[in-house]
Amino acid sequence: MALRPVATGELRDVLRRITDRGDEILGVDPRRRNLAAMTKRLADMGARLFEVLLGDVPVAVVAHTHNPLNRDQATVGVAAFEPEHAASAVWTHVTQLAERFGTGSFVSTAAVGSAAVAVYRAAGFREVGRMRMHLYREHAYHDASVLHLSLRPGSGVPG
Amino acid sequence: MVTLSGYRPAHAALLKGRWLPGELIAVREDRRVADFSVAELPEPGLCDETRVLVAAGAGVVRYLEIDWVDRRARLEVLLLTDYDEVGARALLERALETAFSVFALNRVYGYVTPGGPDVEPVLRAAGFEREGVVPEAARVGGAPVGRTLWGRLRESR
Repeated sequence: MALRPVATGELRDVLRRITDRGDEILGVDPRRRNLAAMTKRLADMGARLFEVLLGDVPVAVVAHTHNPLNRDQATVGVAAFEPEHAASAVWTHVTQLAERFGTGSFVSTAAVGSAAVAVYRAAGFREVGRMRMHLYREHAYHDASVLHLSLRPGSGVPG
Repeated sequence: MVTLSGYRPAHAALLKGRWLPGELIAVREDRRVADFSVAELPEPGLCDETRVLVAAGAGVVRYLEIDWVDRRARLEVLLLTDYDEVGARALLERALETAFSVFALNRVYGYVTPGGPDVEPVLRAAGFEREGVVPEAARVGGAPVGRTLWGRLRESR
């Protein structure tokens, strides 16, 4: 798998593909923001987006923001066009961040019991917190899982 | 009694200082901030999904990343004076009352970083619960430290 940076001029098109599927990324949810608002929100967050390519085929979009209080940590998100490749896309993303920037600590959040949690767990993340009633979906509040992955030596995460 | 009022440009000086971003109860000149560069807090109106209220002489309350559908916000209570439990508790209680009764939020949350004042008794008394620890979420004294995540629901008390 390879990562291709999403240029500013492409951002709206890429987001449209994500939102057409009803996916969210980095907590930016198309069900409550239009494309312009999503674009602004991601820009305000300083988010960087990448298409994940399998050969020439985009299978997912991944995104991250660095933690201003610890530049060695990034918050990551994924929206997969082909769900079977989601965990591999996350793993490709975090390992490239580790190689290029020395980022060794990764955080994400997802609704408890969602497919996203399974994806992150498959990529080596573990739950470090649970945000009670953090999300409102399908007429009810749901908890969100806070997930963390350390790629530092000795963290015990398989490469 | 603490009274919260809307932010006006004349309050800009209150936002100046070394605040630790994301801290549930923060003190103004926080020595932990020396470890990283933190921009001054932006004035409200220039940033998205933020509300700022002022308690004259006591502090500033910021509601950040407000989500009106999920009905939640990240909360920061910024104390303008040295930490004292009574003052912190009064301002936090008023901040919660505003969050749930005025903004109709269902949840507020925030972080506590090691090395600061012992705010846990104040948080517990106000109905907050510890929801986890985010490892390596900040650097204090050059070393990564975990930040404790605390949440308070509208119906907690």
